[in-house]
Amino acid sequence: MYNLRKVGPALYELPREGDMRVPGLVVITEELMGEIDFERPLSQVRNVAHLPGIVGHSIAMPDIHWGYGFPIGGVAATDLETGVISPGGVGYDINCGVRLAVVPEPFHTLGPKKRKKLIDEIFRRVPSGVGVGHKGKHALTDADYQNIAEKGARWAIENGHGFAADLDATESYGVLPGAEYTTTSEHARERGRDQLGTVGSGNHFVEIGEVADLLSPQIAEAWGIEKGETYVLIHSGSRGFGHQVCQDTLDLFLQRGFAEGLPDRQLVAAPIPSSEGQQYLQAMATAANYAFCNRQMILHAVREAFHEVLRVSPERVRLIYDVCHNIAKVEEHLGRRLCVHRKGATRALGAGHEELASQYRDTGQPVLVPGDMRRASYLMVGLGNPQTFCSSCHGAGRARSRIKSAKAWRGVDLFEQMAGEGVIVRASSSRTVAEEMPDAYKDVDVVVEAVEEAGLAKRVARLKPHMVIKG
Amino acid sequence: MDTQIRQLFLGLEVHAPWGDVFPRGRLIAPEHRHLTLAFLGRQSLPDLLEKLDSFPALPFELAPVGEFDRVLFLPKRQPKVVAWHVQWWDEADAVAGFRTDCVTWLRQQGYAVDERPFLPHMTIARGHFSPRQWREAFHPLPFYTPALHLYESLGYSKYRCVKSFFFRPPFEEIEHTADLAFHVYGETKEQLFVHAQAALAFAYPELVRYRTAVETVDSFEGIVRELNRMLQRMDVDQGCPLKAVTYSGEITEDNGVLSWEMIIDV
Repeated sequence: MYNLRKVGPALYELPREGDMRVPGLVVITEELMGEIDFERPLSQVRNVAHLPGIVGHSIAMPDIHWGYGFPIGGVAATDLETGVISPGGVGYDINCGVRLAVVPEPFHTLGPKKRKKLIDEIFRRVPSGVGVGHKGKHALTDADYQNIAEKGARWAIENGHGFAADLDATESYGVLPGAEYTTTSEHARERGRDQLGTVGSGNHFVEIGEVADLLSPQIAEAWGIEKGETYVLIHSGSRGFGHQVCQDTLDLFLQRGFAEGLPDRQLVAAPIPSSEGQQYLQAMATAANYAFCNRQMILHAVREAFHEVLRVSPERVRLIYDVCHNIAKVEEHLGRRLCVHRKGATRALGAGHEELASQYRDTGQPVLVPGDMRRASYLMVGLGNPQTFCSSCHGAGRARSRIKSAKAWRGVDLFEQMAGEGVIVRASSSRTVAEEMPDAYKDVDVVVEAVEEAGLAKRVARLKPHMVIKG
Repeated sequence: MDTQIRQLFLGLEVHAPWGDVFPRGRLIAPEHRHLTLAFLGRQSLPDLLEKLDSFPALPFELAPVGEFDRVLFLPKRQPKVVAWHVQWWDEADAVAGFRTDCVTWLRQQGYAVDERPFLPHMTIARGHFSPRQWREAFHPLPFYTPALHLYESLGYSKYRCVKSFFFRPPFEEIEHTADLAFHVYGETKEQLFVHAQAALAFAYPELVRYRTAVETVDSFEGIVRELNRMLQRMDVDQGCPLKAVTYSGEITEDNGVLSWEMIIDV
């Protein structure tokens, strides 16, 4: 039906046609193909294949859905010398990502009163949403921006938000090299000045729940994760700062005529060695490092909430991993240095990779896959699949538009609805909750099965949400 | 014998992202909210319908858009109604001119029409109300007028559309899985831009405060840049739930109407 040719388990090739420089590679099952409007995101996979210097395939993960330019769930690697860097292949929310921590307290010991107190305390400490919730506690100076650019998450730790050990459990150790804050505009810095330490809105969240099942007990043991433990999952990014960096770059690249010859203006891309390309890499890294700090600070606020309510000391809330899912990184694959764009996709390095900190080198990299706020999220381990440049999915992927979701839940008390399903929700906006109801998302179980079938990552633990803060 | 004498007026139907919470007062139901152009009083309906063949042509194809920019209590001396004042974002002159044409036509047909200066407004509530509460609760709200109707007043703030002239919508929300998307229409690039602003403001009415009027837009990229400036102003001030208007899509033209599929990253 979609001109796809099955080339492996849960792997389909989209043949080259027209001006596509490479074929497409879609990680998907037939079940998932039938669930969504597949033609639009597939056309975006075709479009991405037009990027100069693209290597291998234009790739799509099983949580693929219609984006703009790149599909959400898209991966594309370009040659560092001859290829291009596309800000649309990173997204407006540079280094939007997820971090997972565990608390060595059995979740079932948190009775209803404690859960309510805990979620209320986190809601109080972690700004979320718009309005009052859009401001954090620190108004950044340019000197702060310079330090954040250079140090990434380490800046937050040096300012009392966490521990040195957190860095080993963060992708790229919480800092992308080559950041230069002066490549970001004053406008971008103004937008981000008051937003550090805030969750944001839309599909960003803080989630607390139970490690419900261990699917790879040996790896779980190696990572010190036990069934029944409490977990914390945080989804946030670079806020207005990153959005503006992306916007400024798109404006510049378009002015310079870099969209010529591309089927979609939103794919606009500069040659990587060009001054514009290099400047974007520096600005993107700066925004990425802001996002690492952001999630670091949010986690620490959550740690403080656990301490306040449950007397759990902050050190005992242990960071498992932090992943980026909107990023472009210079990586080595197949003996070449490539710029790997991941737009709604996660790095999934396998065992033995030198980039990984020692605690993950024997097992492979943790991969975090948030689902929806009722069914599940997943912790997986990367298998380092070279076909996808060591990439995996980033979430369940939306199955339903925001309008449809909001209409479907009109007139319903959503907080009561979710409480009836065993999930306490706190949010600044009930509209956001309506758009983010569980049935707006694909079944994450089916998505991770596809990932596993294709050999990108393997399930380690199934996480069951019980408390969620939405922006 | 029913001579079909009815209480009639010409009005523009109003669509807006109303919200659910209002101060005390007898609210006009959303489906009955309108902007009166000319009040005819009690007239023979069949007589008027017969004459409508020569009714002035509508000066625009697409629905005019605007905002309610302040609250009014009318009449000033002893207020009986709460009303919202209309500020047009486009077609202000065309609407005013059309209203004049309607009044002229009505007079030519022998109908007496109110001589007072035209105050464009929409009545939102009647009955007992607190002006202070309504003032405090007021926030600017975008709207568009999808149709011109010959209305019949039924009493109790209810109205029946007897004859309708429909405009094309200035935008239509479309399904987009991850983000927000609209088909936006305009007869010129400038109007396309204004209608895109309206679409965004319908999604998030707070954006009205951050809108600036732009005289000319030189290009598609110019439209996107200006729309993003609106989002950026809101983000700096109070946070904005929309990340950016993307450069996705192209402006196409069909029978003199420009169209663009606008996708906004949420």
